[in-house]
Amino acid sequence: MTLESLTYASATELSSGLRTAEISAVELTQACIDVIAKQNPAVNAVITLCQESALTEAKAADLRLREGSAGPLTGIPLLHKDIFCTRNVATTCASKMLANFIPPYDATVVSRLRAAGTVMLGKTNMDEFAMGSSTETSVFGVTRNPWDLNCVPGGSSGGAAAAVAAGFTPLGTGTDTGGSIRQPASLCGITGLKPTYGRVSRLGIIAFASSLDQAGPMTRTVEDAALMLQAMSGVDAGDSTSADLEVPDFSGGLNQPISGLRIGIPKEYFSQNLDQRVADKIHQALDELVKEGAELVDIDLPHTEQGIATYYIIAPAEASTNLSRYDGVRFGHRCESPLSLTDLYERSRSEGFGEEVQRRILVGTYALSAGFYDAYFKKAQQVRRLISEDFQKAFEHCDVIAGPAAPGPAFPLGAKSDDPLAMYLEDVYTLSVNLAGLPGLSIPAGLVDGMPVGLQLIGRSFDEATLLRVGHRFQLCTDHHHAKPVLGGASQ
Amino acid sequence: MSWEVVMGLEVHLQLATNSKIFSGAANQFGAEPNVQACAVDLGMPGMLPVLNSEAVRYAVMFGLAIDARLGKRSVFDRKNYFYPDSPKGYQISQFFEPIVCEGHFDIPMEDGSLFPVRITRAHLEEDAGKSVHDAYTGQTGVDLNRAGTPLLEIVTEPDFRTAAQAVAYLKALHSLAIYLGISDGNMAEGSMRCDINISLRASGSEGFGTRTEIKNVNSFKFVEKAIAVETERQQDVLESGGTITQETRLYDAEKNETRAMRSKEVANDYRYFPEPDLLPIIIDDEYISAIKSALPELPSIKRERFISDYELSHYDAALLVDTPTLANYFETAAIQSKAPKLTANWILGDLAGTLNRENLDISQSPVSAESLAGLIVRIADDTLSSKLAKQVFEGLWQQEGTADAIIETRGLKQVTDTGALETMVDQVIEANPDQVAQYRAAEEGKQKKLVGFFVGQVMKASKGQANPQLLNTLLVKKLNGS
Amino acid sequence: MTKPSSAKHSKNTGKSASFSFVLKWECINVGVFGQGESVVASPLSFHSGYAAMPTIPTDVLSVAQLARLRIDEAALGDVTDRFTRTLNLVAQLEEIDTAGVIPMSNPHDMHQRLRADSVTEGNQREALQQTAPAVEDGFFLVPKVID
Repeated sequence: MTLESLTYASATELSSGLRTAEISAVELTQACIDVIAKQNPAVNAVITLCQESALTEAKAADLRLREGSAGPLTGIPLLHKDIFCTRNVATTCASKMLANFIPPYDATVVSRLRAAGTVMLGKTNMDEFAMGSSTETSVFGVTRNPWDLNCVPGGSSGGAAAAVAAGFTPLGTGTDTGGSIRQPASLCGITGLKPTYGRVSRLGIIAFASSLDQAGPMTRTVEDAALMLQAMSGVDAGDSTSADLEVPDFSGGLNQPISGLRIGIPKEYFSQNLDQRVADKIHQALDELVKEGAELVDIDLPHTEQGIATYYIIAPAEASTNLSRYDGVRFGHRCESPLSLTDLYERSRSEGFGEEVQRRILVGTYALSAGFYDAYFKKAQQVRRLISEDFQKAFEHCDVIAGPAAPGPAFPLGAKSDDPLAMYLEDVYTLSVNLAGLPGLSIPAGLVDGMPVGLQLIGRSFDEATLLRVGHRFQLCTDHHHAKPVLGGASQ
Repeated sequence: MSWEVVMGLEVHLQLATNSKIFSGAANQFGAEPNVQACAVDLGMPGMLPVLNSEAVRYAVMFGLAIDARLGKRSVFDRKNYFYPDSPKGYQISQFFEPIVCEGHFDIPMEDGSLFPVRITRAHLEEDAGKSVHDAYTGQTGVDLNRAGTPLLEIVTEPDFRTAAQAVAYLKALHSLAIYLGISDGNMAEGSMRCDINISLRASGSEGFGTRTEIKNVNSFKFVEKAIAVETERQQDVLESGGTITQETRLYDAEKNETRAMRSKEVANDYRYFPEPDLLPIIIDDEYISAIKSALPELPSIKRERFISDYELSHYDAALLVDTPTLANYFETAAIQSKAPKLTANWILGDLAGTLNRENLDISQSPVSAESLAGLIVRIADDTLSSKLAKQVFEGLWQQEGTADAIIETRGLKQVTDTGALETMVDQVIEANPDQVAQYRAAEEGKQKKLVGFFVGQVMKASKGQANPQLLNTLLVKKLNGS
Repeated sequence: MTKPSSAKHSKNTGKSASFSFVLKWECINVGVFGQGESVVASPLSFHSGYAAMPTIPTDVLSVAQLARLRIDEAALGDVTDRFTRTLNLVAQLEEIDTAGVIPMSNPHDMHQRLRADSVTEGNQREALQQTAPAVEDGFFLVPKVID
């Protein structure tokens, strides 16, 4: 294994290199740091680099590798989305509000991945408070898509997606409230998994919408996603909504065949909203799966379009109150010389939050206010149940559902930032999955005009294993996931 | 025009758990500012609530004690408002589906009657922090140690018509909480705080007037005073042709007045919605029956038992069951002395008076129930007159030993020996011939008064140890010349 | 008491195709105490029979006040416009029949786990106040508050 090939290798490949002492964790970490140093100024995927602590962690990993007490992720570098609280390392949610916030605690996901031996390289850029689909609302500036620096990487976990795509790291964490892992994974040509709601603890993840948020892996391969999910999953006493269910061996089931597996194709996911070129790629991908023995079944998800309206009530409503704690009193941005308590609140919040965040707080506040609760919030919660029931009915006829992850490939920077509603449409195929709490996987399905397109697979509750199995099978018989960008130029 | 006062009460009862309702921080009063406020209590980014099992158990105990319908499925909601003592910008409370639904609570009144109060609901919620206004110029200090203390908010129907009823309810509630062991009941530390919803209406009318809410009154005395001054204020407003503004008011004990709260001037829209960080609480019959079977004897049951077993008056029984400690004290002493009524009188009289004077609680009494029983036995068997008994009690208070030992060492035995008394009576009669003559010359009606002089003289001679009944009989007999 | 009950929360009487609200100054009879008191239910200044969307800037300002956000006068038009367009987007829900559908607050039908009542957190004041903007003697400071 040459140093040059290191940063585009999968974690699984790196892990075997570390075990055979072909490479050391310190060399690997240094290689990642070097690539980040060189390429990040153009991409802006990483907003905090922890060079010193990463090398220290890598040394500790090398020790464990030598002792023979290493696990499959020992010594593998990783970047955390800046929504995960990291002890003594700035955690900003890409907001001016938290620009100076340094939590004295780790998120459960962070501590579990730390315990698994990963090396934390730093933190990745995102849309402010995860509210966006383009990583353009960050106070640290936009992240660019490594496939075309004039395009967005998607969002909100755009920094993580871009970092993995650009070879900064084999592993990134993301969070997905309405598509924030899957859509950027699609736009950057990587593998992104949103687990079932409750599979991964939310403790220490800065909340956007509590009943929708879920953290998951962003990787080069499904195999890596399985490894990483294994380390992230499991009940957490500190998160009441984390599920007390046994975590299956995700890697163990990867190689099982998919013959006889029924794949549901929702016609609503191939509507006029979908870019025809994307539709073609998805159909080609499905053909591959059919060749492997899967069977395609037509299904209906009738409330797909209303999912957007439902989501844009529930998510802002929950967010509006989750973000009430940012009041300039205990942490976060505080305005200069407040004249009164109201002045302190209003100025700190208006200065600290960006436009999109404020817009969602307003909508959410409105949806919950007296006189509107029934017509907005309660109504949305009722439609949410209908959406969930649509999926349940569909799963009576199929084992996984397949479709696009996003309506089109990456779009140019600024193309949608003046039109929030157009931006909201980016998540039309992903947010219903959050509303229903189901697992969803996006895997590279090829390029459209040189830009990646993702195939989305949706599974039954807590059945990530099937998604991973199908995804892995697809990656065994295709090489879309091996495509990598030449930074700023055409693909190879 | 005469007015009727209509009141409903909301009591915030702090639950005596070890840790907070949603975090593992200590639930204790009096620590340095913010040392007992952990990341969850401060609403730090990424922090999540996890429900304390004891808080749920305590709420269910309370529900069972007031015979309430229990919410088998109850849900937490967020109550949204910005205030420095509300760190998350919302309070986790229960609005749509509380854990304790309708119940009822019969309150013993002074005249021995029971006053029925309908409980609307009781729900779990987290307490807010505290603001300190005076310490810093132009600034308010915020201490969040109290944030997250478990509260049971107990809401009644508008059933109260007098301050006495309201206070009796609060006392009974306080007593119940202590019996159940769900609260320390320390009112000075804010363990039980009361909001009074109060309105006036013309006597005899059925409708309700506009009400005000007096917030956070934390003593029985202040509740009584606050009701009195607010009633008077509303009456003045109404009688001068004004209207009552629905508002939240604060009782100022120093000025003995209520005033509108400035911070509550803007009507709040709390935007309640189900707390997405917590899931529904499900309680099943098994859980409920386990709690039910472990409930202590409740004050209402104990009160009825004291009335029937010990023939106490309703009033005395109600006073004696106030706390389990007092009730146990009584019961121990009553059984040992075999004179329950006398025991009740002594506990509620001399003992309570002395404890009050010394500012002590029954649990701190230097006179144990056993010691007091020893004294009661000696009163019951006529060894002690009530006057001597008070001296023995003083000895008990000073911890000089048992009642019998004190009688012995202080020489306080009542003289009941007829021979010895007769000698003393004879000596007094002989020494006071004038008074004897006066007595004998007096009409029968006046003789009764004059005999007092001789009683006093003999008592003096006997150092107060003469048995008064015996002495009286002897004197009358001798004075009448037989 | 300004606690609205869900049943009385609002009545969407709008039968027209648009997502209309008819009763804005409705006084809700709240009273846990049944004392018949009335409070203005909505913070927003709509008028009875006035169909709907908060298209006038004062409404956005009322919501902003509730959310403790301050909107620049210069931005008010834009903010109102986007706010209204978002509400128009979500208006399509009105067409869906949800009679008898139980609202879904959480994706799974799970119930709350309970924590043992033990103290697990000690004094962490120093660490937790590390990035606090204004602290003195362990207190967080805010501009003077009057009860």
